[in-house]
Amino acid sequence: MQDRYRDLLNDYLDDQLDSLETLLVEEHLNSCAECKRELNQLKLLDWELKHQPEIDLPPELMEVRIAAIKNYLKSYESLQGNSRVRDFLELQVSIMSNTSRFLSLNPINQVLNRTAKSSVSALGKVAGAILNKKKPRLLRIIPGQA
Amino acid sequence: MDQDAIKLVRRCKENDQEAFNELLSRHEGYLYRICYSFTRNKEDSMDMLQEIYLKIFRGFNSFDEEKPLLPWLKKIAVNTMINNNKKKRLPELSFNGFRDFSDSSSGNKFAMENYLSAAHSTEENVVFDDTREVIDRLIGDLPDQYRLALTLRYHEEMSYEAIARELNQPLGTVKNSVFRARNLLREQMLACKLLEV
Repeated sequence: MQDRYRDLLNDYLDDQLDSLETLLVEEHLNSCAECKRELNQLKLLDWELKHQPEIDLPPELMEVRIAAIKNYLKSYESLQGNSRVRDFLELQVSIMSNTSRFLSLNPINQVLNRTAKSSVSALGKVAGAILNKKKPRLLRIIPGQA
Repeated sequence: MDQDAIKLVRRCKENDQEAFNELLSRHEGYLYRICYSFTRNKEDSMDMLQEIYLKIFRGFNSFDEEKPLLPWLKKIAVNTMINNNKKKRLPELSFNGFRDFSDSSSGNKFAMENYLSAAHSTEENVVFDDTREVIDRLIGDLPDQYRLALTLRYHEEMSYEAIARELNQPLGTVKNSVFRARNLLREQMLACKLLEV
């Protein structure tokens, strides 16, 4: 039997055909013993599948449930614990960052920074002069004295 | 959902142990039966059930309390079935044959028949004399896609359209799965002389 007919029989069994298709299949069934036998087998199988015995519930269901809940809550608490450690570390980093920012804003630091910057600037001028081979006065005088 | 159920779900969202226990005890029978109708054995059903519980616990926060609970639980169960790599309790049944049986190749058919004949000749006779047992075994070894569609069709009594929505598959694919499953079962039951008409 071709799959096309087999599918039609399945559709017929499930009442999935429109009225014309139903009529045609029924006409065919009147003249085809093979299809008729197959349909009857499918009907019997369908009945078996629809009337399967009630599935018994095993007594272990309660144990499985309780164990699953305990395991989940345990792993959840463990995750929470990890996240608490993470939160603590993040707080520490945040405090250090704020402290550093505060120190950089401290007025004394700003004075020191300005002094340092001007020193760097002066040194930069000396260095620039050396690179441009313009001997600064200071450098010319010192060797002469030596 | 009624107010009691909403309260219970809210407690579950707060990881209340008692609430979890109460909620699961209400639905574990349904969940176990749908697992068993798919796996066809107790151990695999229990394993699958634990997986489903874990997904339920983890997913509670995303559950919309305005919607009914049971379809949400069922969706989790079905998704678990789809993704589940079933552990085979009967390695001798997991030959290539039945897995790719959809095209009804004769070699595969003989392999299954040989297995069943061998079983008949052993002390398993008593078990195999029971039609229900044989059907259970045959369904249990259908390809996953067919078995899932068959479970939803017969155990859940769902329409083809509803199954297609649930599995996110075209209607034709779902029908094809059920038809092929039935034809495989019919052929195997005929081979075991269990479908004489």
